[in-house]
Amino acid sequence: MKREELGGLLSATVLLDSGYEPEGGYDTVCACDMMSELLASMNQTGQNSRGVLLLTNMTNPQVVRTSEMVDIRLVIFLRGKKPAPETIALARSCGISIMTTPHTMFSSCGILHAEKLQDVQTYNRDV
Amino acid sequence: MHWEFSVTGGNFSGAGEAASKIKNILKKLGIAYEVIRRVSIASYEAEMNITAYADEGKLLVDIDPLEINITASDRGPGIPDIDKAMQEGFSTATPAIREMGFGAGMGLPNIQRATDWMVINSTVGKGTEIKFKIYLKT
Ligand SMILES: Nc1ncnc2c1ncn2[C@@H]1O[C@H](COP(=O)(O)OP(=O)(O)OP(=O)(O)O)[C@@H](O)[C@H]1O
Ligand SMILES: [Mg+2]
Repeated sequence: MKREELGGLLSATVLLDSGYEPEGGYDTVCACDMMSELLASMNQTGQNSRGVLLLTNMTNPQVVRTSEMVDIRLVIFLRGKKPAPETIALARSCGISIMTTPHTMFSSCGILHAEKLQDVQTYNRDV
Repeated sequence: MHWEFSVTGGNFSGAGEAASKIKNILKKLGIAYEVIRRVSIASYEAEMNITAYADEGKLLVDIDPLEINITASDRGPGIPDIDKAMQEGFSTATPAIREMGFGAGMGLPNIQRATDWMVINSTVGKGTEIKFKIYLKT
């Protein structure tokens, strides 16, 4: 799924557009607020992270840093949260796009699940 | 090839910079994606622990044709019970650290899972040294 289509489904606002679009679109969701949990799920993924997006309530720069470590290129903040300027600045330097959706974690996951996006735990794109 | 990166305890805004630099070096060297991901996860977790718990520390990176060796050492409180610290879910993270999304007690287990070999040496009141290794060829 293209970033624009995802944004529409989640009624999301684009806060930063890196211009990056994964080959074959976004197809996998990592939904979490704890950074080590994010890394644990991504450690189990297959050959690359191109199609993975992150849904999170955390808006500090570490969320972007953690995403950069595992090549997540799209971060969507929940409950209409807007990150601090430092978070956006770091995302810009890492080529990561940022959106914010008014939906909660539960609703956002429900919307994307209904569209057949998969959980990162079952990621097997290039395996 | 050898690199060294210093890490300052408590400096959360700069935390992850060392791991990010290591990642970029590996990319430039043309190291396989899978290996870069594992090194990134392990070095980032080690760097975050120095930031969260120690006064200061450093990451030493050595790359040879067969393997990548990283040592994360710090001057800090040390780990009184290493077996306990290695248990998933065990954490002494403060509320301030938790507010930033850390403190799941999964950092050390993540390092173990991401690497081919890992060892922790620690002296209470002095500091901690975590060494890990990732093979370039399987
Ligand atoms: N360098 C260190 N110096 C002192 N104590 C440490 C160090 N690294 C880890 N610890 C101790 O070991 C515990 C477990 O570490 P681990 O990285 O697994 O989890 P965490 O840092 O608490 O949470 P997470 O890594 O999931 O964000 C820490 O809470 C801390 O008590
Ligand atoms: Mg940790």
